Amino acid sequence: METLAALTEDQRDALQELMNIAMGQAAERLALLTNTMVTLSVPFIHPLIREQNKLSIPEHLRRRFMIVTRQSFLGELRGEVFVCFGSMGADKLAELLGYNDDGPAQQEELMLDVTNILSGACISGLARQVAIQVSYDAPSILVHREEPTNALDELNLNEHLAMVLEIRFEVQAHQFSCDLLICITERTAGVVIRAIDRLLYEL
Amino acid sequence: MTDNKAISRETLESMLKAINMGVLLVDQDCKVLFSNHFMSINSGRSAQELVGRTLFEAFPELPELWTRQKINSVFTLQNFAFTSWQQRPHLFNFESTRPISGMVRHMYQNCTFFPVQDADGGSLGVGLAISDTTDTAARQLELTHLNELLEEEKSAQALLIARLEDAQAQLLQSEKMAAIGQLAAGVAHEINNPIGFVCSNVNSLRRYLVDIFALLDAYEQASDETHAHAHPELAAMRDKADYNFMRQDIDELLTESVDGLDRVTRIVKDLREFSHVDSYEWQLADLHKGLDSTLNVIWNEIKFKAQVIKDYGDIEPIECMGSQINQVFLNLLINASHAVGADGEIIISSGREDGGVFVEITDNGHGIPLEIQNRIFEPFFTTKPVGMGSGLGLSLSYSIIVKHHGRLTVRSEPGRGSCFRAWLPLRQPLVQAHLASAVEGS
Repeated sequence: METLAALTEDQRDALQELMNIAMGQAAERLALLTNTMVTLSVPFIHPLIREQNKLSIPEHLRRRFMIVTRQSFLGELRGEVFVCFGSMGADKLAELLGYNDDGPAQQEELMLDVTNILSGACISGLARQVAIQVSYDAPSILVHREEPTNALDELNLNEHLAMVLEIRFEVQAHQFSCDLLICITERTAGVVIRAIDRLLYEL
Repeated sequence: MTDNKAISRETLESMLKAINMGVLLVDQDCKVLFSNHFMSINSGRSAQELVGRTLFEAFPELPELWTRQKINSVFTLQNFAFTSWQQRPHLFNFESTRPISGMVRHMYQNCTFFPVQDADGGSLGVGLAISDTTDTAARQLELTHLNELLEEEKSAQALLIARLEDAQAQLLQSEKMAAIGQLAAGVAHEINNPIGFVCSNVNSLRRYLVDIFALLDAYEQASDETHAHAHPELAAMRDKADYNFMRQDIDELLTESVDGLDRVTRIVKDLREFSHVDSYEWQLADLHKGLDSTLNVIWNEIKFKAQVIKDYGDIEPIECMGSQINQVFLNLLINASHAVGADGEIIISSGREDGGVFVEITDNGHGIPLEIQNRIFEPFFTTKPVGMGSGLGLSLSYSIIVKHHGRLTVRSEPGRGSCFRAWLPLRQPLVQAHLASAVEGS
């Protein structure tokens, strides 16, 4: 089985490049949609971080997230995107997305909207690079904690993970940021590796 | 089915119209291009009435700004967008699809917005697929409601269990105290008899000795020098026994013994008074007597620590369970003696107030920190080191006073000392007293 566990340095560079292009396109589309300056960080790639079948959260991500949403992407490339919010959720973006009243249900729906838009932009960007089609299910709230503790610790992720991409999303004008974890299953990671190899071959 | 040409446009359209979920197609300006039967049946408007209008004319319940932004994002990102019945239960204002059995009035919906492309791959519009989730939602809401009920019940039960534990602990403690009281009373009773005859024997002995010494004196005076010469062994015996010292010492020994016996008698009396074997029922009792006997019982514990100042007022006997009230005094006095440092002072005062009497035990000890003042009457709450205090003394005292329809309150200033005040009514309410004594009696 092809996994991302043993990537050569060339493959890793190529993957990074692939992701950079995908995220660049995603940022462009998000900026177009929201009419504001949008920053997507350069993706940080962790190949295969697994501890007793559990996703081990990188140390620098162990901040006080209170709400984690999720959305699956399905098809030749399968996996889930997790979006980590602070206590305010995505409230800062309410106006931008056409929300005008605030209640707990609205706050949740807004976060789900943001999750959908971000994962759609990022995964579609990646899918376009490797020339495949993906579909999505509806996003949902995975963990919602009242206390400011690390909600990520509660995740029990046992699918064999091939790759975790970590991306920070920022809208500076609205003082908003959140973190995305894109987890691709081991079984479908081959699609990405073959695309990398193709890319390297074409060079 | 693989041959697309085999299926006509009309067939596809009629399938879309017949499918049992809402299907809409709108252009970028939100004008309705297509609407199927589901939408007509549930909105009560025919397809002709809906097509050609904007979404907001056709369905005025839709929030315009939000919907436009949603459709715009689908156009721009060429990506799905979703709404869920949980956050936005009724996107379209349709009636419930469980009109008879359901408890809900409106249809719950999940909705997917998806980009639709024309034959050349260009953006044609945005499709809306609306699925009816009323059944799921109704079930889930019912479950949520049940869950809440269960949680409520659970916390109520937890509260009950905690109360039960308290009650059990208090029962245990009061049983222990009762057992100690009975033991003390038993010991007192057992000691009382021998002490009684020892006392009377010592008194008789004293009288006999007085007589014996008088007799000896008489003998001494009666014997003259010739008699002394005739019996020199008498003088030798007298010297050997150190007669003069013995006479003097016997007196002292007897005085001390009588003193000791007095003390034992008093302790026995106090023990009986304190344990009040007979007083597990309501009777009139003199609180000052109770205070004094309690003080005597714990005198050894207090005497080196604090000076006790009694400031008794004029109070009449009250209706109470003497041994229990003594238990309260004991707890309060011991706590006070634990609280004071060098130059400790414990003031016991009493008086009449509000148709009852009060007893105050004031110390000049370290006081009680403000943040725990409202917790000190809780069972198991203690500031003493592990093994030193059970944390039950004050809670037990509190429950005893409450059972007597009185009040136990505390004023305390950290660093200055504490004042515990027990107020008790002169008489117990009639029914309560009978009930309580019946319970105690059983």
